Amino acid sequence: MKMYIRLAFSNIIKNRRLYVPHICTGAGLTAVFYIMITLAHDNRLQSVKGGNYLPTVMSMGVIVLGLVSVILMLYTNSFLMKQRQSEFGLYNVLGMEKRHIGRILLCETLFAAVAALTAGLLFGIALYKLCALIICKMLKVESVLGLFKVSLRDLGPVVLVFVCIYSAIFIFNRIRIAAMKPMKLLASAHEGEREPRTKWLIAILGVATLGAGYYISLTTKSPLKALWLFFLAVILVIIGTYFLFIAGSIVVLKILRRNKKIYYKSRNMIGISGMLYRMKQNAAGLASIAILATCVLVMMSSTVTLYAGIEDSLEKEFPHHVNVSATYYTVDPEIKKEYEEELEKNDGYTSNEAYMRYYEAQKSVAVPDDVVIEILKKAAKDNGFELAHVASRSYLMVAYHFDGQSFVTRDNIDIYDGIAECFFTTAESYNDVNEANVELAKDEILVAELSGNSQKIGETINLAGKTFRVKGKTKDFIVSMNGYSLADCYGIVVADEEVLNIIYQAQLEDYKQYASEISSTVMADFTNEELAEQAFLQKRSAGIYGSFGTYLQEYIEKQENADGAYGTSWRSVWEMRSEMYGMFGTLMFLGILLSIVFMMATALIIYYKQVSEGYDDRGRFHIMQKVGMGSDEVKKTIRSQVLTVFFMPVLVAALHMAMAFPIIVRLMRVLFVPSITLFVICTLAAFAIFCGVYVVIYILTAKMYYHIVRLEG
Amino acid sequence: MTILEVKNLQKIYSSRLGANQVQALKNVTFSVEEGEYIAVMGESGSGKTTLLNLIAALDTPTSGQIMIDGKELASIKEREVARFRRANLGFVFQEFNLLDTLTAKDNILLPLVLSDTPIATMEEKLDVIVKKLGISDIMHKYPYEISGGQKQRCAVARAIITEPKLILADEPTGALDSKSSDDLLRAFRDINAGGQTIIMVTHSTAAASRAGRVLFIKDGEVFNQLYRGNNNNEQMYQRISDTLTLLATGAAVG
Repeated sequence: MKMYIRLAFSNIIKNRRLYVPHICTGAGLTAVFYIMITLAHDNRLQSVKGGNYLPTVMSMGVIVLGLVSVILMLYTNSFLMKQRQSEFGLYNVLGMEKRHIGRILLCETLFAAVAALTAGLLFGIALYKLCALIICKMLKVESVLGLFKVSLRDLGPVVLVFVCIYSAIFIFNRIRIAAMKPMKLLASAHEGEREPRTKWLIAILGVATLGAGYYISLTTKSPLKALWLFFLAVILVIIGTYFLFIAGSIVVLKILRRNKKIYYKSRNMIGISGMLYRMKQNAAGLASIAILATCVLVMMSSTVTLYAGIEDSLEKEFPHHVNVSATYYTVDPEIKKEYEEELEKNDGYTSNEAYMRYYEAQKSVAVPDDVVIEILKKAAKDNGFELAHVASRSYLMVAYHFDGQSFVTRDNIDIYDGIAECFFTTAESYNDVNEANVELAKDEILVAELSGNSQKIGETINLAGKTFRVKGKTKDFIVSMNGYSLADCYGIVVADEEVLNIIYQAQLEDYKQYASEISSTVMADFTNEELAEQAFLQKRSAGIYGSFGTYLQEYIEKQENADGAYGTSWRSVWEMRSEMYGMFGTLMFLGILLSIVFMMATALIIYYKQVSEGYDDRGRFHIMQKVGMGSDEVKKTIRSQVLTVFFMPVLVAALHMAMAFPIIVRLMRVLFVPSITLFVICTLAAFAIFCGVYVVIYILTAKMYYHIVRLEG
Repeated sequence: MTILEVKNLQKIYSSRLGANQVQALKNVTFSVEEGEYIAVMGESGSGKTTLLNLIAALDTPTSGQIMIDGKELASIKEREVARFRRANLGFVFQEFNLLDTLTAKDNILLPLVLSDTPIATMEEKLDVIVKKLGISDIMHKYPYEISGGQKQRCAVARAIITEPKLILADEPTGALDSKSSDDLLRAFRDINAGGQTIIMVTHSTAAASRAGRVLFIKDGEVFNQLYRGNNNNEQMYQRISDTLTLLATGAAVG
């Protein structure tokens, strides 16, 4: 056994150019894995405001990372094995049996696994606190972490996952050794490889799938459909990318080769023929790089946009600190009495029918705005601050089918296509909230597009059996749609209560029990903002919420037929801010962490590509030198060839990103209304960062490539 | 006209620290006239490949002079060596050295493409040479699809397509069977008959017997020379064998 260990050890040293990146990959992935799992389970972090998103988001990340780990580890391993084939062949020829080689491999895998896991876990533990601090920063909360802590509970799953991966690698390699034919292995290096055939079908399929993916992204209007269509588009684009790199590249190169004017040039001949030849081995790798790059761009740009857009969107959504509305229930005293009697008779139980009768007799009544304002004033005073500014708004929300011309009530509520949610309000309410001065005739309306809508609004609009003239468009409305709706949203200002009532009656007739009610909300600003913020960040039963409830109860008790139950709806800018920082901060952290992993994967693919190509090309460039090419010329040829191969994936990724832009904007609208400018800036920044990293990888690996082909100096 | 002149050539290889020195060439002097066909013979390690590398400007001599077509190799700038080599020298190697990514045709055209020759000129030249060498029907095949003999003839075509002043062949028959060797040597003779100067390093007496002059190298020096005169191939073969025997038994120059 000692001999095997010694051999294994010296093999790792001897093949360090291949082994070191393999072990580093294992270590890096282990570290990130540990960090993610621990973040998902750290209850110190979950207790902070916004920390509640960590478990879900990080678990999502762990799944992605798990997949990436398996693929990457198997990938680096297969490279390792391919490059070492003749070494194993030699062992076999020298008289070592396959089981002996298997034992050496077992020792090697054990070494690699132990090294990677140890280094990875130490690294992960060391970096964990930093990551947690970064998360706290992103969530805009004070760091809650005390001293350095190792989570033993989370070490288990990490070790288990990587033990599984390394076992799979060993089994995989052992099978490979068993299937090995030594003579063939020894000879395989000298066998010329066939030129790849033109696969027109695959090339055409590639164009078709890629086109379809792009088409979906460019044409999907409804965010409701966007979600599953997005995944469809992603799959189509991935397939298209692989097909095009594998077959399309060969078609293009062959066309170039057929063109004598282009091909028979000193600059092009070696490059084109070389790429044609190596595309067979590298197309998949290049396609993977393109896809990884696209993932990085999408993740970085979208998560950073969400995060960086928080303040902007809060400002739009909350012109005032707090929105509140309250309702209570009334019930016919007869029915209530009946119900209570029944309860008494049956020791607190009732029949279903009795309960339903009682339940259906309950009517919700809106607490008038002036009452809400009065109560809010008192409740604020109890908590040490005062109302600074207050406005009330009333609106009606109705869902229609909209074709750009007419809002029609829908006869099938299960079909989501073409839905438009309309918020109607009166000019008075609009003026009150926006401190504006709009006057409208009975047949005039003002339209606000509350989300990036799919339909264009015409000059006139048919609604509730009437035709309205669109007097103008406005950006402001009395509600904003952030995080509300997946459908297209319109805000419509009508002349007065009378017109609003006509619209209300019309939809009541069509929708009957599903019809909407006119509701109203009070919007308020407070003095002493810091105190107010604290009061509103408390639990719903405490702070200002508690005092409000008490005063509301007092009011309800005085009302006729009141049933005692009440409901309040609160939305405060402070709560929303903490929610948004929690959610988007966590998402951004995951986005960046995964981006780093993906960039690492990119570097790795490039590294192995360059190494294997370097060994392949060495002989070729020596021949060229002998035939009369100067080493400068050889270098120039290599550089142009390597550059083309290198930057093609980045260009493809940029194209993918540009094409994905519209659908990502639509998807982000599910969460909030992104500023397009911000998104463009974030995308460009992400692209710049990726390119920067990529260039560094390029310089480092190219240097090694030159070293391998021995052209340095 | 003298196409190659080698004077007092010396080459010493030393290990990095200079502790070990190996003298590959001691003192070699000879000259080659235009249109000559010269074989260089000698045992392994006698320095014949070193000599070829020095003439090819792939390596630099420790001392001595090499003049090709009146131009001294040492005076050519580093940067221009590659172009000089491409324009003036053609190479044929034992292991063919064809690029496996190019078809036979493109391999032959490679040197012309590297100097950006117009396509029409390239094809014209190719046509003539390929016909002469009898490889027109394999032009679109890749090196791994053709036989060793065909590969070597492609390599010869590549060497002569630039119309070099001098062809340097390093063991060109070393990896070929006897039939293919024969074909290749016939091709060399034809090329030489057309006025092309050839220097061929070889182990094979049969190959050397086709040359117009045979140079024997031993221990880094020119040991003997044989001129063909009016001898036919068989007679030449006999004389070479005799000289090799002399060489091996270490007798003095006869």
